[in-house]
Amino acid sequence: MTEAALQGLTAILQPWPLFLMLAGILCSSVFAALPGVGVLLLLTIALPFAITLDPIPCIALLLGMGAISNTANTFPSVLIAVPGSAGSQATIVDGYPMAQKGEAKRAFGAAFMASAMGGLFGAAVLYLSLPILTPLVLSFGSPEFLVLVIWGLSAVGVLSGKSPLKGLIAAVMGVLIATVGVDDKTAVERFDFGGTYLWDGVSIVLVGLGLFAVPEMISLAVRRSAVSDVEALGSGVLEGIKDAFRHWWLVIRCSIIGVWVGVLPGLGSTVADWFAYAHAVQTEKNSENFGKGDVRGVIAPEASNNAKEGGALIPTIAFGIPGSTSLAIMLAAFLAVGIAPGSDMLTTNLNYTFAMIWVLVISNLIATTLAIGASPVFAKVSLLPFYMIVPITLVLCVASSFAAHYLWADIATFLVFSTIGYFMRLYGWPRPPFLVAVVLGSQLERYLWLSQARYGWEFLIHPGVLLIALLTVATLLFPVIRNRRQKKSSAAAGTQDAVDTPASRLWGSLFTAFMVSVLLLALVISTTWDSLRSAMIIYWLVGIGVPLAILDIVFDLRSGMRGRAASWGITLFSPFKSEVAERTLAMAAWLLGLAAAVILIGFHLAIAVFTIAYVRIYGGSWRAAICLTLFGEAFLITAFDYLITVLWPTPLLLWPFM
Amino acid sequence: MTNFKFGSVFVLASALALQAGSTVAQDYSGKTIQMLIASNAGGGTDRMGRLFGLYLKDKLPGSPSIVYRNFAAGGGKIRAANYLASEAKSDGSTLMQTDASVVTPSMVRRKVSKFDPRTFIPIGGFNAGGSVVFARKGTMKRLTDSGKPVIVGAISGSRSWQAMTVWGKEYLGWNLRWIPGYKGTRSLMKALRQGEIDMMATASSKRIDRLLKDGVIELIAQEGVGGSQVFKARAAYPDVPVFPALLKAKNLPQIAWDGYKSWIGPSQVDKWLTLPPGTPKAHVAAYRTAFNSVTSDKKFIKLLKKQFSKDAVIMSGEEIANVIKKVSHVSNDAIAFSRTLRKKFDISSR
Repeated sequence: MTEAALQGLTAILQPWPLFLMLAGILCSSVFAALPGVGVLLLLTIALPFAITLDPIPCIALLLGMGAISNTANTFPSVLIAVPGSAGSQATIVDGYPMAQKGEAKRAFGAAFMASAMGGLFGAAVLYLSLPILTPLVLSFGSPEFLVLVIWGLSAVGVLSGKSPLKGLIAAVMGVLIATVGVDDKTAVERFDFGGTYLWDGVSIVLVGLGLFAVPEMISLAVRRSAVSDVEALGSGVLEGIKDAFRHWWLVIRCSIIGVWVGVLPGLGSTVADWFAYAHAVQTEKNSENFGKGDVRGVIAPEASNNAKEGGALIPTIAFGIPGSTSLAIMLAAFLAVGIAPGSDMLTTNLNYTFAMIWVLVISNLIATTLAIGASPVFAKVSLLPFYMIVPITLVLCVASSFAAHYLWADIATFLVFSTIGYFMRLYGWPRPPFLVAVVLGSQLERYLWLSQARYGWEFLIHPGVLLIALLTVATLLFPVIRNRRQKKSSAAAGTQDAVDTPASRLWGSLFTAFMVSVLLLALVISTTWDSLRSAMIIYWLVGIGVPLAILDIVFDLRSGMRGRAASWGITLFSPFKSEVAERTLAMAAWLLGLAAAVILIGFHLAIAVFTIAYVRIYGGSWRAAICLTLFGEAFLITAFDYLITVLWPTPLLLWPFM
Repeated sequence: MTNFKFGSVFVLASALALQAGSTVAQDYSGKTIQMLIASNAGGGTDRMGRLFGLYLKDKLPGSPSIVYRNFAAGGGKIRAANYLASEAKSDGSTLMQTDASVVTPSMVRRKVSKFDPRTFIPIGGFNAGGSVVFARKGTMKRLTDSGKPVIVGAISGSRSWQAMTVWGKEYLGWNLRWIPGYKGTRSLMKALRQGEIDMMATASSKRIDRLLKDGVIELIAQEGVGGSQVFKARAAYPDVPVFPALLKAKNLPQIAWDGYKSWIGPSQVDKWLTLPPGTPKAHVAAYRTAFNSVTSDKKFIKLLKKQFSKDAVIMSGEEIANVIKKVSHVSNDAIAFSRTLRKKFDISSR
């Protein structure tokens, strides 16, 4: 084994593989940091070249790209609340508030060091698990996955914090969103409204962008300040690195979660960060700080999403069952160059397995060094005035949302979720439960169906199911017992800045009523489906969601009216008369204007006009406006025209001339 | 008479000249060709398109550059076909990489489909060799007895190989129960290894051979290759029964045969490249010549077989057009028969 390990290392450190690995790391870092682009696309572009290489250079190039796909995507998550990719959504919950507190550098230091530690841990697990690969992967069937998904969904409880009712309703709505699309088991096209756009469901990227990025930008535009509330950033990178070491036990635990999510093909690559975040909130002391810029909220998801890559290699190597889409592309290349998964990878081709482990190790170390080196420069973004941040973030959001399917409908979907996200933020609804439920909702339905169809209800007494169920109950009870001892409440991630007045309670109740009406509308639509099996989940959601929403409305109205009934008449419409309301409406108009301009005159022109207009109207110089416009155009041309080669739809105003 | 002969010769000569003029060699120097890919980046159709593209650009006269435009999820296959049919320029600058679903009658006859695959001009494609149905070792005995049914795992109810299992139950007395809903072939492979399901199918020889090597499965039947009339065994699995041959012994009524073919027929064109309707003959000739040149390249064939299937069968544009023509003529009664059987066994499909 030692000989094979040395052979693998020597092979990787040859000039050509080393060069390819470095090139892969650099390209991957750029792709990961660009919202809407992602490393998956990079791998696809590199595949035709990679299959012409020898095995070791092929491993160096592709795995170098894939291993660090969740490192650089932290930059936009922390700085502008835009997830660089779906795997970095949970980082926003505490990363962005850290940037608001002037701690962007510290967030980067902690995130990148945790990423590196997670990545190295993943590689170590891959190494240690070599002898027990087979039973490890095969120990999880549909029933075990189901309980695991339920464990993930139990995070909804802790992510709801002080608003458990709203958190649960948000989760119900999230699962409802997850039911959109063709139901594979019955072939019913659920909520497709007669078109094909929603056949594959709602893109999680659009939901994440809408729920987090736009509400935060509206808040920033209303405050009219920089992202950071303090003027000096200090030298926090080192402090962040120390944080990662200080919370080493959390890093280890979350890395284990990441490895497990990677090992189990079927859970999906976007859940690792949320699982880890939920675990951190459930098990760490002083959990009330989560969601308000707690460094542990950055460390947990970042350790997990990088550790996942090592875990995902395990089923790929053992059976040729890739743990993620990225690995499916890599596997296609590996097969083409003569690396066949299976028992040979542990015997005659063990040097290839070790080469993979070394690439995981080396690429994580290099990517972390690069990212930490770049952090001070990127952190300065949090000091830029709002008129520089808001327009470019909205441009990135609209462009990234369009990248989901390259359709105008993507922008409409993004606007819908932006609106929902804004009102959720305004009325104190926790947003993470909604997102977690969208991610896990379809899996919940799938594994419940598969378990029940295959085993009947006997699956409930499978040993693995019982074991994970016990662990789930333990992690649910642990914070309750601990909080009771500490007499403290848990976190309310994503609920900051909610306004609490009688009027806001009334309007909040109307928002809840709107959610109920969506549920009831879904129920009505589901009665037209020709399969009861497909509609069953909707009945469950209505059965749970409607009573909860009624309770929430009653509580809201009762607490709002208590002792303040006299002021109701005066304050009812006050939210619409304040400066905040004016600025919010102005911001909404800007966003709608951008979306409309994109559709009417095309992306390139719309972005230039929008950016220049926004910067100039809010006091920026011509120089700032032009620089920002050039940056936006450069992003658009590089990412969409050159890398993705998007087929731009014809702008509406040009239709008569086509 | 002489005048008539002279006139005939003149007309013939003119026609030949016109024909020759229309097939003058095209030059794509400095041009950019866009390849529409009817799938997400990274999927099988995408990888196939990019592999073809890599070689095609050097074989087309003038070595143009090729850009790839994925029609991602969200009915991407239909959207790509709709785009090719109504918006793409038919000047040789656009082609599409797609798969069998665009030919499937039940898909083509939907309201959302604004294309007719018969109007497309196929350049060529390949067939992975036809799906092979296999089961976990030890479950063969249960296939024909009345005990615990063999569990067939599936992604949805519409995969073409499932026709073999449905007709197997109806006409060969196979004791089966279907569980659709798995996320993908990866999940199915894992469920099979775990014993959660007993039976599945794939055309990928890589996957089949790995399972065989690990002693997990035994092969039961194969779809066969060679068109919709005569089905032959794959070269890699010569001893595995060809399913239509098993059915033949049962003297099926014609509607049952038609129903079977309506479901499984489109899979004869696995992954294929096509030009938009109305593309001039000169461009068609240039592309088909380039395709033939690509598929004669040993290096390409080696990569194709390594990435997809060692039994990959290359199909010319004309062959694909013929299959499309045959599949498109499937009667509504045949489709209805297939639907009735699916309903009987509780397998829903789009």
